[in-house]
Amino acid sequence: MKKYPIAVLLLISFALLTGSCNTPRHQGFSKEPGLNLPFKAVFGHDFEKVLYGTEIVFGKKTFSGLIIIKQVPEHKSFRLAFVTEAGMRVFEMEFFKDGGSKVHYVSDFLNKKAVVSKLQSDFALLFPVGKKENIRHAYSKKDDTGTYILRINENGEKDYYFAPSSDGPEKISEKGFVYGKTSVFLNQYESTFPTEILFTHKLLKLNISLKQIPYPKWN
Amino acid sequence: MYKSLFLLTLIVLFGLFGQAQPSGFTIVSDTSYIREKIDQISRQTNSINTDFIQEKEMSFLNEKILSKGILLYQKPDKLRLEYTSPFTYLLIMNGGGLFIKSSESEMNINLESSSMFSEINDMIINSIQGKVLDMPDMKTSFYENSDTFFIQLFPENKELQKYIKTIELFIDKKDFTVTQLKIIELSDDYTLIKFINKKINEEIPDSSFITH
Repeated sequence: MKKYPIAVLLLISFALLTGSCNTPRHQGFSKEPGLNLPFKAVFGHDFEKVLYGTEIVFGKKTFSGLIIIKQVPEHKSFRLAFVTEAGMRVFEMEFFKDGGSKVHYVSDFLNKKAVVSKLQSDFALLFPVGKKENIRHAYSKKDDTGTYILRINENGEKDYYFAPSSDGPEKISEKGFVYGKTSVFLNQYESTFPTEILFTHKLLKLNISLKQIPYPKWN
Repeated sequence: MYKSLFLLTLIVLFGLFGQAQPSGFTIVSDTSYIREKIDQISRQTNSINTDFIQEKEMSFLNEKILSKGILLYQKPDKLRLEYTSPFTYLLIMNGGGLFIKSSESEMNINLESSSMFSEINDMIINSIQGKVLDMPDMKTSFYENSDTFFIQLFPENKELQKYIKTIELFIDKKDFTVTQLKIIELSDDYTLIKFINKKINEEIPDSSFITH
């Protein structure tokens, strides 16, 4: 009598697990076994620097300001800072090519572990950190317009979607247990960076939108 | 969090209207003349219309981030701060109302509904009226050269100390108006605002301060 409900529970769990496995193959993608493409990050090795007008909507609160991203070759890293329009720094982070990141500064009012950690993991999706360049799990399909889409899967948790001739991923999605799926939409690459970036979260009311500010002169 | 972001912005504005021995400057021992003169000029000032250029220096950037805009002030409590390049951003304070418009959104805040906003509002208006040098939570140092008074303000308020290391004001000896404001953060990154094309006591239309 006791074994029966346990077996049912196991069966249900298995069904739920397999049902929630959102593998590329289940979305119409087919595996590309011989594919050996180099991984293109949003901000790659040729990227130098960019300035974005930024809006962060968190719950009912809205923050606007500027995000500056710069590659720091001597640190083998990418530095990202969010400042208000009036110039006050809100947070500053660094993402290292060999993996990991460092928070250099967070304003006292924002300095909550969960918030900082989420911002860190979100922005890390944009940079070529860790072992991404060794990814070989690639899948492909043609979309409704006949465009060939390549989907690269990292450790089963992160998917990078590329159109054939794009300068970088057009979409990134990351599974998350606490906040659900994070999606990043990237539009209109201008050589080494996208001019628009949008972060959305399935279970968290946090949207981050970045729009490039054409900067005629930096100094 | 939004309130705190607002506070950061207002900290900058606050310095605007009020202010290491600096190279080329000598210390001023008797500051009463400067205080009196600033107080006198502020009492005579009914409106300010000025362009500004803002420089943001960050240690990891080799270049400064430059922006520019227009600042309008009308006694006793109307303020318009508008960035025009390379981005657009508008902040209007009018009595108990605050309106913020960025490229993506607009917001209205009732200053009277929040004691914190109200206090900040009072602080800004006091600063505009030249009372910033009398603030109890600021330690001040005065310097001068042939044409400029240089005033350093060191916050002693713990809230301000979380964000600001020093506020520096450069005041023109000819007309006792602020020509430059520098906000130095704890990391030594700074924001420098230079005021140019100042017009004092020119009429400013009320429509410039509508908060909606």
